[in-house]
Amino acid sequence: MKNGNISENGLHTENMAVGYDRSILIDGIDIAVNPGEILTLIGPNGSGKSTVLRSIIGQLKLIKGAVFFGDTDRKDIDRNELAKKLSVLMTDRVKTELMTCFDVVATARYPYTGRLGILSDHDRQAVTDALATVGASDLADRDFNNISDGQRQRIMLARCIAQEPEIIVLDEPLSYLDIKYKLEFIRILKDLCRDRNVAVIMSVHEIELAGQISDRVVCIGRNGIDRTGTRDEIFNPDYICSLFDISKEDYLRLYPVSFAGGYKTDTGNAGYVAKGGKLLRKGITTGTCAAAAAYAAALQVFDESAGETVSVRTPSGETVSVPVFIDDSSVDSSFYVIKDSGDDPDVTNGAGVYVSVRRITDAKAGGAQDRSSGIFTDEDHPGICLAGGEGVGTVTKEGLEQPVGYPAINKVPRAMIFKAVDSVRAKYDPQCPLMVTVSVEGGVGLAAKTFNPELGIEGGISILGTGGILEPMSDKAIVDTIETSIKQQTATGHKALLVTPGQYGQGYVKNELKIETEGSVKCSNFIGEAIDLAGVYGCTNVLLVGNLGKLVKLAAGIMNTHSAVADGRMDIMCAHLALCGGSRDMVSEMYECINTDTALDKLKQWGLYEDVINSLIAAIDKRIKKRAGDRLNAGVMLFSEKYGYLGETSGAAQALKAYISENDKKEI
Amino acid sequence: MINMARSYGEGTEERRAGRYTVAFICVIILLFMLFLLNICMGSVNIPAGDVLSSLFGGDTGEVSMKIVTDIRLPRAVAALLLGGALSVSGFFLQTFFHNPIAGPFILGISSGAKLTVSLAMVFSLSIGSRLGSFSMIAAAFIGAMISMGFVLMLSNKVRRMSVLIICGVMIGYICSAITDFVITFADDSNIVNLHGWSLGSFSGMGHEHVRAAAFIVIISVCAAFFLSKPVSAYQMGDVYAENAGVNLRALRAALILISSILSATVTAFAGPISFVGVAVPHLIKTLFKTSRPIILIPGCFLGGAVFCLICDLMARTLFAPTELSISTVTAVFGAPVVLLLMLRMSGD
Repeated sequence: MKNGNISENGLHTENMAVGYDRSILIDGIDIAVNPGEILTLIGPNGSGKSTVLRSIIGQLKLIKGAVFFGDTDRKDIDRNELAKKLSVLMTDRVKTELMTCFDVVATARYPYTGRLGILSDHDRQAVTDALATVGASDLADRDFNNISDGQRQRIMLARCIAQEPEIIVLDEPLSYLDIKYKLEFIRILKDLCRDRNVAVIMSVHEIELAGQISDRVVCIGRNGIDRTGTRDEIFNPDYICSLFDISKEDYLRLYPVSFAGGYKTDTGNAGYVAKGGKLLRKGITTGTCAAAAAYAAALQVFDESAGETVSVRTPSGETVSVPVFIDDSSVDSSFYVIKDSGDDPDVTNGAGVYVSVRRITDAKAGGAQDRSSGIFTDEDHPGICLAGGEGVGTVTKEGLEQPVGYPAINKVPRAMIFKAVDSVRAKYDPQCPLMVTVSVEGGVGLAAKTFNPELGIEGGISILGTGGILEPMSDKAIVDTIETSIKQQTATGHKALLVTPGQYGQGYVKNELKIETEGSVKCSNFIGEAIDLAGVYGCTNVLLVGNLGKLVKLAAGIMNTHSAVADGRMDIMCAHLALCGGSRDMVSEMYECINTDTALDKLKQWGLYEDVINSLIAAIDKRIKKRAGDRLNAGVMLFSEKYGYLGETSGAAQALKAYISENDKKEI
Repeated sequence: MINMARSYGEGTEERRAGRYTVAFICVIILLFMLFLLNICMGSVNIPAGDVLSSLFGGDTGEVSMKIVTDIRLPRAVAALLLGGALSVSGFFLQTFFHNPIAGPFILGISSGAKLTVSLAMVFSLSIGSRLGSFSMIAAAFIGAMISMGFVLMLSNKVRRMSVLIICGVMIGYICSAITDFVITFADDSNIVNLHGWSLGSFSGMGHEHVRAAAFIVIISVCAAFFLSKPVSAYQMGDVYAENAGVNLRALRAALILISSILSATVTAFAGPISFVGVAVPHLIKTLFKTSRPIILIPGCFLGGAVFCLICDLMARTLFAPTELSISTVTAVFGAPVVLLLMLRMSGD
């Protein structure tokens, strides 16, 4: 964004005491917010959230302590300088007369204008930009008094933005907004944090939203600051209930799914995982969902109630508490769990994983005759049968851990389900034969978006999960799939692999190289892992085909090409441009390119196209060979969507030959 | 003339600037015409040509020249300056209290000034000396500040603005009562003079008075104009003004001080003049369709001048040779505007 001043300093308070008329309401307040962070104040009405905010911005005199902007005490900052650092949106109703929305936003330019406050073109632009940022450009000429409360609030936010502050303090800014604008408002705030490194302090009543946006939370209870922490430490049902003095029942009625705290585990902070400087919420695997639902359903078979949540011991050794819901539409005892993938939603996020349990007369028969797919049994848990229902895929190809014809429920989740059901059965009727059926709401449709069709799993998704807890950006689930895919290839005697990051690569192989992609492996961003696994499973040749936008990262040895791991595309392009004799001006121009195709345009223009591509390919060759080791020949073929074939590394030709000959052999 | 035509957007700013320019030109033309009329018209009608030549030193005969330069010219200039002063004072009070019907007369500030000036006059006459212009202004200023102090004290106590206005009216009544009391017991010889003044009139303005008034009014209005930036931020309310970097205390003090000085100056020379301070800023806002102080402050000054020139002309000529008090005329035009505003406020 233009004119975005990047702030270096956040705000913190030291031993601040606030109140009215020298009588202290809340004492010993030490809160801090860093640039780019959102700190929220939550707590019941009348607890003093507004008082704290008004004291921070200096509207109320501090009784004790100090507020620091960076390292400087607020008292020592010049009024005008402070106005450039701090912008506020309070609950005070603004009464204007004959002011357009543009005029209102323009008041924010006060610290930037001259003696008479006449706006410069730059000021006007800032106001116009701010209005556009909040999506209120069309309101610019409207009288501020004749717009809705929600619109007014957005205009006031535009005012904050036009002030170009480092810190924004907002007092219950969401109150007048409908749900759409609440979300919109939050999105704008988050963008400000990210793009302009603004620090935000806000009080909110909407705790479900607070849970989503807060980097840090300060809870103000009846007796002052009750707790300060990350959202994981705050947003768990027990604590929220005690803070607001509400019953658990009411709470669950409002927030049926654990909205923000992630799934509480018994190992403290395990509901979150740190990634890229942010805490990402963990989710649960479909396996864990199924085990929890199975446990609840089994209890109901014996006329016991499971309650609202079920604790599941995951294979990774943690205990997760999962909310379960009864499925009234089923004649059997049936429960479901809403799959929550955490902060890195995959296709199954939000889907219901249903498990029904019923008594059967004979475990051996198991009702198997009338089923198209196989039924699992387990030696350790005799008498329990496990079948796949609608939305759970069926295995149709060799090489997976289930035999052909069986439901795609992996070994670990299978064991979890058996164990969960048996732990209930043991209490009431240890020998009772039971039939457990797992199904997934909309699983058939979801499966199309997964790797399942390529793996030969038909008619639904797989019940997966080796750890039980799903880590965001989850590497594990994808790498598991890559492993399965490679295993399948090697199991059918292949020693040469064709690997592509995704659809683009596959399309190129099929359409341009005219090679069948049936036996190829998709590796997503996990280039390094795919090469490692190829080595582990005894492959001799690997050919990686992909577009420059992704694979350019390999030149710098970045083997996970997810943009959250590293971007660096232009940095790498620039380095090689410089290596090939590009001038400083060229390098700076290149650095501003938005993607590799535009970078290639420039190279063409400068006549350095060949040189730079060769330089990149040499670097990729070096890196990839190092990763593959001596026993595996790895080659990379690069293309661009615009320029087509770009080049290949030294090992590519051999790998391609091996792949083609193997696949031809298969056909003969 | 302020030219705001640094445009941006789809010509909105240009349209506005056009409106401001046209409105300013209209008001200024009106001002010139009225000024001339005020000098021409009266018990002796003097043709405009004679007036102009006498103003610029031509020879038009002893009598008419004396009428023009010694009586009508000072009076017209006084009406212009003091009308403008009242109206700017009213605009500042409205800004200060965030209330469109606040004004020096309604809040009792003019009456407070009237009280101290009459006390000072009676006292000085009793010891046999005449008050100079600046002493009068000083006395008026003290009275204005005392009334203002009361109003401010009350404004901390009462939340509702309408109640504050009633309090102001009451303060006005108390001051007027005490003034009447003082006048009743003053020496007979002073009463006539004092009585005329306490009803409000631009008559009896000499060159010396006009010079003193001009000195104070021009300085104060210029100071007011240079406050337009903080005043514009202050229109958004305390919190946002402070957030924009306004020194609230200093600004509040300046608003009070300037509006008190202006209304005190008016009261010192012309007595209390009703409703100008409320009606004119409102009419000007309606004319310019803006709340920008940088436009409104000069606008109010010019508007107040026009308004008082009209009213004074009517006060002198309608029932000539009997002269009406200026407040009688301003009330006829100003009070309906105030009523209208009150109706609109209660509608909110």
